[in-house]
Amino acid sequence: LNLDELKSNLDQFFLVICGIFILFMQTGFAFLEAGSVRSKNTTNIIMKNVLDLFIGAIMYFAIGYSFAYGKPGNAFIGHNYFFATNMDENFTYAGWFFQYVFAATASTIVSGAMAERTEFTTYMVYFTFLTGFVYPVVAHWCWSEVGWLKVGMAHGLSYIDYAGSGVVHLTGGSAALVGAIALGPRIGRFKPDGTVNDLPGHTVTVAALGGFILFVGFMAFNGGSQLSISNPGDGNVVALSVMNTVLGGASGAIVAMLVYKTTDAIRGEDHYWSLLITINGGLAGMVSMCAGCNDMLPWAAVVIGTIAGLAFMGWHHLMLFCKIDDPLDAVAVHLGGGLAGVLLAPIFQHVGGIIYGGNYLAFQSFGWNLLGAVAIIGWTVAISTLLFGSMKLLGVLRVSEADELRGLDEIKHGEPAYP
Amino acid sequence: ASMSQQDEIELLKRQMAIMKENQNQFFMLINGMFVFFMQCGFAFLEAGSVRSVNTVNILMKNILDVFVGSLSFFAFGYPFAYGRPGNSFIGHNNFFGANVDYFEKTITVDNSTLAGYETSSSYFANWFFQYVFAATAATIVSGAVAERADFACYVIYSFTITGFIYPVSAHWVWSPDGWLYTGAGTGLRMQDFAGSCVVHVCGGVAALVGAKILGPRLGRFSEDGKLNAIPGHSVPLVSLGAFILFLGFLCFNGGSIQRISEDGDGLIASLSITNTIISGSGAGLSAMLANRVYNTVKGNGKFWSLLMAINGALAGMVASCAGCNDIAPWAALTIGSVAGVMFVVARNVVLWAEIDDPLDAISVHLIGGTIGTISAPIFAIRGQMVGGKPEGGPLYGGGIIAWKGVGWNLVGLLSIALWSGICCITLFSTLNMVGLIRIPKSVEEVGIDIKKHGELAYPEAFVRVISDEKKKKTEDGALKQRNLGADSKSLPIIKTSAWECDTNTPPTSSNGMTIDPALLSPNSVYSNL
Repeated sequence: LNLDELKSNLDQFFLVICGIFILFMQTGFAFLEAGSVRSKNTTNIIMKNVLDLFIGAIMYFAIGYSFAYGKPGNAFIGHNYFFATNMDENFTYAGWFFQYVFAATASTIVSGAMAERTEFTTYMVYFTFLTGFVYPVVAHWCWSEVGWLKVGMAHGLSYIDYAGSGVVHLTGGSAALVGAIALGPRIGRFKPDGTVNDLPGHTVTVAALGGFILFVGFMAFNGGSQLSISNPGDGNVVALSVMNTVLGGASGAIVAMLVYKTTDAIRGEDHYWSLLITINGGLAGMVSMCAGCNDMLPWAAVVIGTIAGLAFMGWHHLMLFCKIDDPLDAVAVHLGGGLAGVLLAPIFQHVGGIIYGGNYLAFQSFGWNLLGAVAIIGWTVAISTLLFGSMKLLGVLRVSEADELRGLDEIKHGEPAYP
Repeated sequence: ASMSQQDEIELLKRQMAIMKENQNQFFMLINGMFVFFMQCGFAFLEAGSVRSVNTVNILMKNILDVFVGSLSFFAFGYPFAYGRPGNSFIGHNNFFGANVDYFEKTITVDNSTLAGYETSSSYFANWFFQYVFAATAATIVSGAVAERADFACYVIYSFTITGFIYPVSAHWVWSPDGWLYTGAGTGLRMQDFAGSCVVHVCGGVAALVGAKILGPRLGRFSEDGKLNAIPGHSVPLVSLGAFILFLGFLCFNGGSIQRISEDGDGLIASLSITNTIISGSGAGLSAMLANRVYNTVKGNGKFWSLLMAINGALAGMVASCAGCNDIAPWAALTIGSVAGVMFVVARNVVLWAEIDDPLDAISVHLIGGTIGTISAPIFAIRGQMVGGKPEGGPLYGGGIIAWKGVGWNLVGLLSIALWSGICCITLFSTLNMVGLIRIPKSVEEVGIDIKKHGELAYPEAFVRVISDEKKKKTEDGALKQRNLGADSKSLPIIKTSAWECDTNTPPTSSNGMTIDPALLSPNSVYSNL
């Protein structure tokens, strides 16, 4: 006489519902990108988002989930459940679906930094590697029970990353960075004397729609990472995650908006309340929440969100300073926000954090998170450099200059966005 | 060794209690997320209803309303609304989340906590659910003050509404300490299930006050009292927003029971959702019909107006908020139909009073909310509770108590309307006196996006806008806009004035700008890069 069946059903229902919201975030990202590129490239960028979803599904089904969570597995990678076979009681379809939408999120980040100038087929090849290998290995290290970052060194030390500031966003952000560097800037983005030309997106409205959808989906992203709703205290943790996500996003957005306006005002230039900066700041804030929103007090969320907003602005200017063209500020949002999250979570954690514990283990935990961030970034950068580098050497990475000026919609898809 | 039967039962009871707590929170969170998504819906309802030169501004306000609102509600709003201890006017505990038992909870077996009060770890779920409602109340106002409200003014009043005005009205009706909840000695309880009065009348009155004090948009009303149409720039965006709002409204009402674990909860949630959609449908159709009849009679031409249908449906859903948990579907249909017709009437009254409301927010929320608050106790099935048992509504044999309940709802309606009105008059008048309330005329003429946000909503369609008053001289005398990018020499110059609203020459495009059609091709702007 027990409730186990009901519990199991409710857990799966929980995962599926949250997974559906996170899948809807793909729509959000598609619109954010569509609104941020010029109208001649809109169909192209939406196509990439749609295909990223589908390619990700196939690859994650075939080998991705196996590498990430296959049992048995070693400390580096898993090796079971290929093509969803050989399943045991550790494999649930709801679990697969939930992990898949996370993988799809990581891979769609990259398309933002590489928008408007990437060769289509090359990009598809890259997606298959990202969702099939690069991301699953990282997920295995951090989230599988035998992954080396999760196992830690001794006495309870473990990599803290509840919803994937590091696993999802550092991976996506560093891959985006490598991609943007390998591609080079869009034509006309940087003048020879070094000034920056704004190449504004063609509709802020659609970008804002994407932003709103992402905000809603982020709550499921962070709330659903509890992975169950039937254990004691689950509802509380999920609710805390959602609340922290909202507050972190709010702080990030407001801080980014204010910094953008005041720094320009101080410099004596035209200063504006920028909607796109606000949206991206909000996203950076929510990204930073991923690492530890399940176990921090709401005031900590406001603090971390603020820092993430500042980090986002810092990365935004750094990218421009280094002459790296990132049409969506994807690197600034995900790499900047992700780093803020991964590094600050051990400090503010309610259980075992530096502020609330202050013992040696808490400090070690910070160090281990730092190591994890370095490892994730290093791994992703290495593989991405190999991939993008070889594509670049083969000459298939970037579209031709004529194509780029003409616009990719007509040439690649024969379907202009606005006929 | 197997457990004794007694132990088994104890274990089962504990498991059930844990399960109930979790499922209630999950229920609140999922519904809350959909209500959060309504912010997106409202953003697009507004974006499509304003001119394209002001679109970024209105989207910005909606995003900020979400973020400023969350911080305000965390710091002050939720404590004022539900902080315990509190008196019958306002709550006063849990500021910035203090004094809350975050993680501990002793689960009692007969757990039947209702919303709005936590002594335990359901604080976060409750906070989130109440927050999305507060954000809804605040965002109503942005519709009525669209296209002319100053940015700082918006942030200030958004903060105040989410942090003080709305929480007090929520406290009166929904906190166990509030005077409308306890009855203040009369033994009655105000019936406002999902907030027709608390959210929509409160927000609607604020919208009315704001629109009145701000004044109409330039060119909206001519000197001779003639009404000039300033249509929005995109009906598809309005429709997108409307659909999202409809979807979210089902969770707005369906989730208001805030638990799913007790007997009858599923029934009430389903009944609420059913009533919401029926009421909305009735209102949308009746508004569309009423509008057509009205315009035919007045000789304005016969149209089936999409915007009337959408706004009417919203008014109907707003009207259903108060009683959707306790009325029969036929009653929802009746209430909705009345709300739709009254929406059209109210809209014309607002126009006659020369109050400019770009989104008809006043008519939807204030009128819809009023109808809801009055009709809910009239059509209620279970009605007031006496001694823990429902007495029945006036149509179901409730007698004197039921009619007293109607009176109590009226008391609540007037109180909340007065409260919101007085607070907002104070707030907006102060902002007006300080000069913070409205954007300068020069900005309003050209469009807020360029001047305040540096981001045009549709950069490719509007190549260049020149303000007649401010010109930064460059070599070719053209205005160098920060975000219009590229080499100004290669871009042609277009002279505009944002709108000419004299009735003799109707504007050539929906926002009154004249644009050279040859330049509308998207590729032409960047062909020289």
